Amino acid sequence: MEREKADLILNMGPQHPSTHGVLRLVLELKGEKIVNSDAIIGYVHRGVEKLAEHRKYMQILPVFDRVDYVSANTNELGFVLAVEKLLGIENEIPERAQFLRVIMAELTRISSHLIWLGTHALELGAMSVFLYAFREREKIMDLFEEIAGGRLHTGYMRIGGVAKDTTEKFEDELKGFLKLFPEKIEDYETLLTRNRIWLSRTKGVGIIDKETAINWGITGPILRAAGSDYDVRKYYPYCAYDMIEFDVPVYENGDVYDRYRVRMEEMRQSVKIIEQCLKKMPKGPVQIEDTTVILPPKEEVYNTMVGLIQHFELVIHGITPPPGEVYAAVEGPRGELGYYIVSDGTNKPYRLRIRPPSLINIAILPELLKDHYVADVISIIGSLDPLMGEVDR
Amino acid sequence: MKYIGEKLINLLKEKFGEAVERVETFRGEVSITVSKEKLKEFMKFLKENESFQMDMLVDITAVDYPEREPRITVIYQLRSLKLKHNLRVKCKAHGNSVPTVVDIWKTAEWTEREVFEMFGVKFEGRENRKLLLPQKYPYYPLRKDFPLEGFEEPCEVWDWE
Repeated sequence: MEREKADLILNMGPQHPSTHGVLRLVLELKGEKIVNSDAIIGYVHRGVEKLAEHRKYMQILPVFDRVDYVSANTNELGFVLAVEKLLGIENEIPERAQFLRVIMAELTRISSHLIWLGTHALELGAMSVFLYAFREREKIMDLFEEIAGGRLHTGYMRIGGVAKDTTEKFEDELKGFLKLFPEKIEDYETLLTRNRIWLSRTKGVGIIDKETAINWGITGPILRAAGSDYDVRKYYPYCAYDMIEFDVPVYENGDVYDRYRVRMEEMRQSVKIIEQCLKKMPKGPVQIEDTTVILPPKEEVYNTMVGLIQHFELVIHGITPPPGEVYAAVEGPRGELGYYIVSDGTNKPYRLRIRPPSLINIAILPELLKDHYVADVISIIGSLDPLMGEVDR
Repeated sequence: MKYIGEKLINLLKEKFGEAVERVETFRGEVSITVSKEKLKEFMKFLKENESFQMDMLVDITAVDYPEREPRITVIYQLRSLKLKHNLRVKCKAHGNSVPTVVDIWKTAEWTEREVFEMFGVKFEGRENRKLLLPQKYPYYPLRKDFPLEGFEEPCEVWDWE
């Protein structure tokens, strides 16, 4: 294909405040218009997939916290579900644990969307949204700290359940948050949704239509803004999502503005999901009893011989799933987050592949940026919401 | 996750005969191994046929089995958004190459590049350029004979493009 000749080649990044990490774009410009572009990635490649091949299943969890570092819970959840599928115990997980997983996953979605909203608006010149969004995100971080101990890298999911049950303080604070948060979304919307500058920066910019999006494998809010209702939570329900009623927001235009509206609506739906979870969540254990999968409770380890032996057995030998291969996916804040595990019957995965939604969503960038103005690059990247830790892994 | 049923598997077996080398089912997931020669035709059929309509290529990856010949198997995870079913297609990379599917699904644009740099599998019919690693990097890190801690890093690999 003949490349159109450019007047100027502009190097954007890798260290650029609006690329959400280290993404480098080489833009070929004709005047202010982009005629060609190339995305260069890999600056934070850490070899997570290789690392996973050398670790026992339990030891991999904290690594995956750090793949998509603003939505640790969904990362863990995807991996945990894949291992449980491999072990064939996905139907034995206690119901309370399933609901807790949903609560944590949805809180993560809200916090991740808040970061996106704040930074995206900041890049387009709306400073105050950033401050408001981070104020609410802080509350979610406090909730994580209360239940899991960690704020960013929670380490809350376990193969066979979750780490801890809720505390009274957690439930109270969560209820308080759910009561307060819908109003806050209204606040953000008054700042942006009908703001004339916001509209002119986002409407009709970076349009991806439905066929193109599906052909490029794009998932998550970007696909839903383009008119498809694909959502892993609805298509292939996992955990407790089949017991919960919620809507999947779908818009038609596929531009930056619609992606914004999808994410705003998703936050409202997340609140709805968590409220239902709190109501429907039964009492009971949060971990399965099979000690070949999950560590026995600490009281047993310290006080009984059996518990101690089981603890050592599991720590030393690890979980050994049967040989086989599975693919499990969850709906992360950025799209379908899949884990493909090949097991050879030992305590370490033979091959572990993460299907990173960010990587596959931004692969369209060079094509999408064509014929846009330089100023639109910022708003397009922001709306795709890539997370470079996940792109490069 | 829903995978294609017995009926559709038999349909594929009838249509492609010898080219369907193996069908595996594990935990309800179906994987079909297809010969390299027929891969392209097979994929086109899956996308265009009425009863499959695999409009989304979810992911491409590969697995390295050093003791097997050929050592690398390329794996395609397919999905139909209309019919909601999935299928995993495998293809053994004889001669360390497989035909590209980038003209069928654009998802392959970057995922094939990643498989190329990590496993050294060439994709016929497209430009093979590294995605995450420096262009001059001489090793294929996800192969089993590449040590976890890596090799002593030669600084010349940084080409800064």
